[in-house]
Amino acid sequence: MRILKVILMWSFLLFGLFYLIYPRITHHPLTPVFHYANLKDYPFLLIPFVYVASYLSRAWGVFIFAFLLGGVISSFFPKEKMKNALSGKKKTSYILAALFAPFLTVCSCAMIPVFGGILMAGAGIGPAVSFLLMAPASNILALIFTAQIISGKLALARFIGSFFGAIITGYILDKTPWGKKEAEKYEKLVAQRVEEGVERNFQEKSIEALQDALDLAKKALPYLLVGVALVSYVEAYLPREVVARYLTGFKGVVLGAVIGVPMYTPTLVEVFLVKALINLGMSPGASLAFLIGAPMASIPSMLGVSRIISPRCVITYAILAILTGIISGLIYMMAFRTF
Amino acid sequence: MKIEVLGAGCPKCKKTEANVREAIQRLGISAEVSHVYDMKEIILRGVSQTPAVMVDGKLVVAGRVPEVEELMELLKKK
Repeated sequence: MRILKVILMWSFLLFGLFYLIYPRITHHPLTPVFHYANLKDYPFLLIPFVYVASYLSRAWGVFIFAFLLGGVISSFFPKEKMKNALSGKKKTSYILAALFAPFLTVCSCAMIPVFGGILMAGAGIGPAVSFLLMAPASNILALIFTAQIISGKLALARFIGSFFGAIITGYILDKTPWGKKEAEKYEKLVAQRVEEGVERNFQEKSIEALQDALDLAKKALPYLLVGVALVSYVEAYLPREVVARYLTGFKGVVLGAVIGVPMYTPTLVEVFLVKALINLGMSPGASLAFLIGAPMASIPSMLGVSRIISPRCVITYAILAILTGIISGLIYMMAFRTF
Repeated sequence: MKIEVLGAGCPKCKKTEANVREAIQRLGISAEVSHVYDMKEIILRGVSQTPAVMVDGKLVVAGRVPEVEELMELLKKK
């Protein structure tokens, strides 16, 4: 029974990978794809179902792959060691914090304790905030979905933009007097370690990965499906003229970075929402600004964090995060000359 | 014995608490089980990986869901 689970986990993961690679080589999807011609032609109540069904037919393998990879990362990656590498007031802590963030948390509920852990490790508030911003903006799942649903180019831009934005934001906050005050508060705390770590073997870790993947899916899928269902109405009824007027050019980038903040989009739904807006004519620069700004400055996560550090710090990083979205979008717009 | 489960209420944390309760029941010992949901409280205890289990103030599991058998081993030692 246990060995069966191990085989199941790895073969499904490999199959997911095959599902992603197959169309790139053969230029045909692995399984038949259901396309709708015009969403508005369907009865009002049927639109969400048509929309979700279409996505499921196009991306069911992506779901399997992404969730299993999330499980593998959370059970196989040496999280404790990674976190310890962040201790000390070294400049490299910033880079490590931003680089490790996509692997340290696959699920946002674990984000705040790790944030506290980095503060306790004595790395200061800078790297801790870099981690906090990078984790939701560029976690592995978000990047896979961005690459598969939108484009690989935008996924890469999302990673690069949030990487530099997270580091710079953390660095600036570290220099403010209110940021320094917070760091002092947590420096005195001593991190607790597990006394005798039980070494788990490959089999146990694989089973845990499968369990983690299922938990992750259980937690994220309901929100994701409901979110995508609601997005169908945006794609069906939001007039193209509105999108063309407000979500293109310079204004589009600024609005793109800002509108995501009050519109709390659950994890991954932002990808589908942006895809719908792109279909309606949103510019790539504005899309990038949304994909970076919305998760970094989402209101629920800001509320959670303000229990740990002062609201002043939270507002500072939120403003800088929105600026990160805007600047990334503008650079993308200039670099690829797409307005 | 005082056992605390730390975690903000995600499915993994709930599973951890359930496993702890089952381990206690199977061992037939009496222990006081509580669940710490508050993030600030969790951080102030020096714990940065959830779900976590503390026995009499000592961290024994962090960052994963321990299995019932494993918890029974851990609790037997105490």
